[in-house]
Amino acid sequence: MEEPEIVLEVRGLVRRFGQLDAVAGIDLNVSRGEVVALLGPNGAGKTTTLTCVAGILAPTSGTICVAGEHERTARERRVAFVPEIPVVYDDLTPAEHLAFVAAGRRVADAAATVSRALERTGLVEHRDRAAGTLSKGNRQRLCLAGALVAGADLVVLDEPTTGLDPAAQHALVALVRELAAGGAAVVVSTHALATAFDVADRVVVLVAGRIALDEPVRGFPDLDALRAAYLRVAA
Amino acid sequence: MTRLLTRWETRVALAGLRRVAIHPTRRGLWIVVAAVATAAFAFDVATSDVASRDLGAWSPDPAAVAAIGLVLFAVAAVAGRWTPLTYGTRTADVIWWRYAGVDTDSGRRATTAVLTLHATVLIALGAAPLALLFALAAPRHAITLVFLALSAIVLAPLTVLVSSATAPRDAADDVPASATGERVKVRPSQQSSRIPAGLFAARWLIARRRSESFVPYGTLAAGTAGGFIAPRFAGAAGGDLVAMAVVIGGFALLLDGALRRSTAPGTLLSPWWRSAIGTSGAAVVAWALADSARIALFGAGAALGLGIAFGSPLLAVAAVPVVFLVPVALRLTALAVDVLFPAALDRRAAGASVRVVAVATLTAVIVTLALAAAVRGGVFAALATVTLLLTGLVLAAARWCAFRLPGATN
Repeated sequence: MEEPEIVLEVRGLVRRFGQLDAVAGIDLNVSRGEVVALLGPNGAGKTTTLTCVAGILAPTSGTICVAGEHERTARERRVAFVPEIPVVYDDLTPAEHLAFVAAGRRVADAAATVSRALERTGLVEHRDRAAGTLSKGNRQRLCLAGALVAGADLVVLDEPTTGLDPAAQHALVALVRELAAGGAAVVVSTHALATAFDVADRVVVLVAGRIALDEPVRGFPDLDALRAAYLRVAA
Repeated sequence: MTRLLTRWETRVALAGLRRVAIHPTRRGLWIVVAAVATAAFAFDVATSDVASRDLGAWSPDPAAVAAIGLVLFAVAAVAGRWTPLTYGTRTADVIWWRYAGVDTDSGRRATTAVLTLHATVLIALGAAPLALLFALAAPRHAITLVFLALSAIVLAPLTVLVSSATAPRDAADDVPASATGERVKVRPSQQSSRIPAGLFAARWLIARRRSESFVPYGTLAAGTAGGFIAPRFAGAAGGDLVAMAVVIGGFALLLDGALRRSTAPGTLLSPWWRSAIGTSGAAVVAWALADSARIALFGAGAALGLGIAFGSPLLAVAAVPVVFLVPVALRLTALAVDVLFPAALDRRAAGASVRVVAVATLTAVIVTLALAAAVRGGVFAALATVTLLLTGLVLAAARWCAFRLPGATN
């Protein structure tokens, strides 16, 4: 059987803030089409890891390779980061946001791509509303639509379900699975074990900036087993 | 990419203007008021036949202008060394520019270009019409005025470029916390509510969350330049007009500040603030000082500029504590009322009226006592009186706020 292509390869990642080692040496591989859930207590280094991977934060040491690109500038173009607080341009419409991304990425059929992304994320009825008037869930979807139009090899989501109602959470999980089915590698950080269980192929638990557990989800018969394993290492 | 980002900047700016036109905010109203006042002032100067408005014998020395330019570049270079280059000028840029494929290096170059363009446009919009009007009013000085306007239009964007050129490039850790949802991290040494340690931590937290520089050097420089230049304009416009503008404008600013509901409860009761600074009286003072740093530094700069222009630097230095204390006292007075009316979100509610009455009354009392001190002991006595009164007000209000804030750690 053919080995799946590795999209994200992290080796010895360290990020220091003053005296604090927020990330203290992480090795991580994520394959194309795979969804990895990054779990861990507050301050474990999840967001720091994700922002380093996305190229927003420079690592103190270690290497990050995305889709074969080691060089920072080339790597950054391969990643789409969806933050916990979905920031948008309040006065512009979702269609304008996506048209900008399409223009930047030189997408061939920009109008059709934008329409398709709006459709897939359920934002068609909001396409011409000011983004500042959208709910948090819809802003989250807009950021995901941006990632879709960008056609990134790696999509990184930081606590995407925080503050969303159950229906919006369910829709988001479906969308993430769709992204992975479309060929993207996805890394999701979350505190919600149920979300991790639903969305991920693999769970990675960070504790004090290091990986304490890295297991496929199918290795856990149910959510209770995942919770027990998490509590064992996080405690 | 440059063309794409230029188009994008224009689109964002136009969308913002469209929103302001449809839903005017208080800031928008103030901008309109300032624009109308400036136009009226310039029209008055340009059309008046009073000899004193002919700029007198004023003749700035090109060497002095060049020296000021060099000082500005030096300040910009020092400021640049403190502050890493930013990627984008808005929080959303960090995310959406990256979706559009703008990498860190090109993003920073684009930001420098955007800021340079902003500075050029803003200065040109202000300097060009003013130079033209003054040149019409005083044809003898036309060449000097045009030279000064051109100097300003060239110097302002160059300072941005100098600042960017000296900024550190190695660490990409200047992202606003709100862009990534990352928790603000506070070093253990900053976890104190004592002043000045608590004040440094407070300023750091507030500056970080607002994407401001720790020391708002830009406002200090603007205040100093404004204070230095203002007497020239005052000389041209006539003392009565300036006095009227200062008194009415100052009081309008105070009332505008009083109308605002304090943002402090949201900040002071947030987990990030409570864990780092606390909610004691000292912490409340630290919040007010850190929150008003920009306007206070502008005022301090203006005082120093005026002192230099009038040849009384000692008086200017003596006025600096008052300049710092006024915005702090205003914030704490508003907060002291808001902790009594925690649910009064509406601007027309009782809390808003009490804020305005409290500020107006305290201002009247302080001004009266200062005038009484001035009659007996001169300007320095008046400044000392106001400093003491404001310090007392700040300390009392801070104690009261710390006592009334829900769950405060006294």
